[in-house]
Amino acid sequence: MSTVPKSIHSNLPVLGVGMGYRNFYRNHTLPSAEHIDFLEITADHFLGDSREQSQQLDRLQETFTLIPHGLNLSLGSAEGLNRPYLRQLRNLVGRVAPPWWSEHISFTQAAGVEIGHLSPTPFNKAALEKLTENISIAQEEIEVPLILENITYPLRLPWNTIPEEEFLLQLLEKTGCGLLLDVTNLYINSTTHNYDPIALLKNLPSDKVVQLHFVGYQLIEGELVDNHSQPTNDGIWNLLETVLEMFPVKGAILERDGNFPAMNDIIDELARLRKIGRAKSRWN
Amino acid sequence: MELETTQTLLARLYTDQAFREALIEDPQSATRQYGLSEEEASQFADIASGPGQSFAQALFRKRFGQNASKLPATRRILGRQFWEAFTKFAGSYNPKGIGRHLYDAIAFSSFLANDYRKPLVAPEWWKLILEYERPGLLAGASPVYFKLRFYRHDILSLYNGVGTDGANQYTGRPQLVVWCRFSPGGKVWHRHFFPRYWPD
Repeated sequence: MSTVPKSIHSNLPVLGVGMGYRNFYRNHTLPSAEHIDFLEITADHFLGDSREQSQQLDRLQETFTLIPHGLNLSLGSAEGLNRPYLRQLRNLVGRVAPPWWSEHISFTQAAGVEIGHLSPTPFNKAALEKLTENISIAQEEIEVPLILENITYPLRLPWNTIPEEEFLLQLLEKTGCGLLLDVTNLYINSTTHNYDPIALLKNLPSDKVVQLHFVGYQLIEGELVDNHSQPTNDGIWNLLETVLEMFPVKGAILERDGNFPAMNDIIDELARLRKIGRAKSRWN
Repeated sequence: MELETTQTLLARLYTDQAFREALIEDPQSATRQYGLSEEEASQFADIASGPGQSFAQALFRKRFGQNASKLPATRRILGRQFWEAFTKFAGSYNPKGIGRHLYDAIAFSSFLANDYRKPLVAPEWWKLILEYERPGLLAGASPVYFKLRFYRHDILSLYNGVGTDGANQYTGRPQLVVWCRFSPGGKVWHRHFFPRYWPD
């Protein structure tokens, strides 16, 4: 049984607005520290034995709170989560001592096949039970609070029997985890599958939305694609404003993964969200 | 249907084009080993021919992009043929683990060098470029590594010139190139040695 109390999230520190740390900006991140409140690090980039990576982590940790963000734990896997990866994550979390760490509501492997991307799991009882079981194992191994991210699902699986908002609610209640609300993913899913994102948000327990992700989507052949390669779009800014009105989140991360602009453009986006959050009394 | 079966079939149809095509062609036969009902098999066929196909293509493009970034000069020389060769290769190898993009590029470079049977329209020195890019990848995937290679001409200028407007010719001074990694987690080193004096 996990030792993490279920109502811990309201006591988590407010971190503010930060960015996903990317190699492209490695020479610009520390000099821009006054504009960045905290960093999210992609766990896979720091799980190897590279001395260069280790030194990089040391330098970043001197200035920033670092939040590890896993990609391959496969919490939704029916065959069980990725144990070797969990052990590596435990070491990384132990090293950077974050207030929370994050992973995804998804599966990335099955029957020896690695999919290479986050794949949606059905919204049904079996998936809920398996996620709960795997998350419990992760929480036994890593006692720092875990928050779970919603992913995009290009296809509605025919085995969904629970509405998404109900699935999320039950998952958070059963596991005691907080939510990493990816606002861009919510926007994309609600547009692709034609539902009201506000209706989903209203179902979420206010104190469990711990952190946000935001970034722009790309429109490719009429489809909204979450390739994290564009400036944040207007629709997402509007949704962010609503989310910050509704939830006392502790932090937000700009998750740019490609088509990297100048560092000033990143700083501008962070400043814009900081201003919105400040107006809602979410951070200073 | 068990969740494990659902995920196994989804993982296969996302990553295996041949399986996806077989599923669309004859869902019942393609899924016989999993004991699905006709309706269940049809559901997977619908996914495979619709949104599953788009997702699979996005995964393929992502994987291709990673390979192209690790073999950039080879990609520039081969152009569209690099894509065609990767399409042939992709179904035969499922990269795993944190270093999977690196292992994928190593496996693909080996396939290009040794197993791809279709004749390639490329300069005669294209394999030199592939073999010049490979040791850096192998060093990155090994705890320790050392390779020494002699080139009859200026491989560095050729490599840097690939895809530019300059005349790409394998000429000039001979070179000795060394790739090494001295310890696990250590930096990968890569040095070129030219003779000091060489007639033009």
